[in-house]
Amino acid sequence: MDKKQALEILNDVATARQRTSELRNYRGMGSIISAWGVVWLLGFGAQSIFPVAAPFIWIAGWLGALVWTFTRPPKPEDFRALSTWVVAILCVGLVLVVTKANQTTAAMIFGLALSAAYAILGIWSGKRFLLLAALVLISVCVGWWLVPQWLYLALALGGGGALILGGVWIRRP
Amino acid sequence: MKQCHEVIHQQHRLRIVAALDSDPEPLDFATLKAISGATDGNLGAHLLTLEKAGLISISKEMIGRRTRTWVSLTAEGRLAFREHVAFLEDIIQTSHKPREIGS
Repeated sequence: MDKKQALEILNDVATARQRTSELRNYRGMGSIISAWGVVWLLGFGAQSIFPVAAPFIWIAGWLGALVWTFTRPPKPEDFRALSTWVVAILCVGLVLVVTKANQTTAAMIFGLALSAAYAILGIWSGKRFLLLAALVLISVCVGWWLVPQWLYLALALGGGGALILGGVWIRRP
Repeated sequence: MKQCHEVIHQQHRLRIVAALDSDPEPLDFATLKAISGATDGNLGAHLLTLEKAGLISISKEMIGRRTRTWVSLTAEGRLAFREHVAFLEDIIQTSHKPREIGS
């Protein structure tokens, strides 16, 4: 065996390791993505159909999804990664306060932020997250520009549905 | 001198063992199929070869009417894989001459 062959085999090993890591991430994130999809579906669905109850559904949904996220394996071990997401969420919140965004604008900004978060995951952890980013982005754009009167419904069905199905799909090897 | 492991050296088997080494938990058949790029039949044969060599252990789990196959690396398998990788790294780092494969 010569140096070139050894290098090719080691590259193959590195690829197998990377693929395993990607599949592990998908496996771990699948149910979490679906859980957040349910929150979106119920939250934006309530805003569209039964706005009075929406704040309570959002609060209950966020709490439930956060508990689900941080109790599923693999639990986040890297404090810096966790801090990054907290800072990102706070930044989005700050943007909403500074711009004095109304409810529809806030919904759009949250949709864009979620899409960006999945895009970042796609760049670092696996390409399948990029598809989820695209699906959420499409639902936001369709709701905002094409059917603004049904923005919440578009986010509920498009974004929430995409996340629920995406979470199931992403777990597949 | 570090030596090539003949059982692990085969491309699909090396991918299987590399995947098992990089994940602390057992991997299922479908995941190993996706990583190794082998067909169902080939993967089954490779797993049997690795099991006979004592490098992996295989367990079956019944989920409803379906059986799910879980595969994990034995301590011997982990050691053999790491020695094989060290053998490959040794070739790259120290030798410019072709080397014979032998276990």
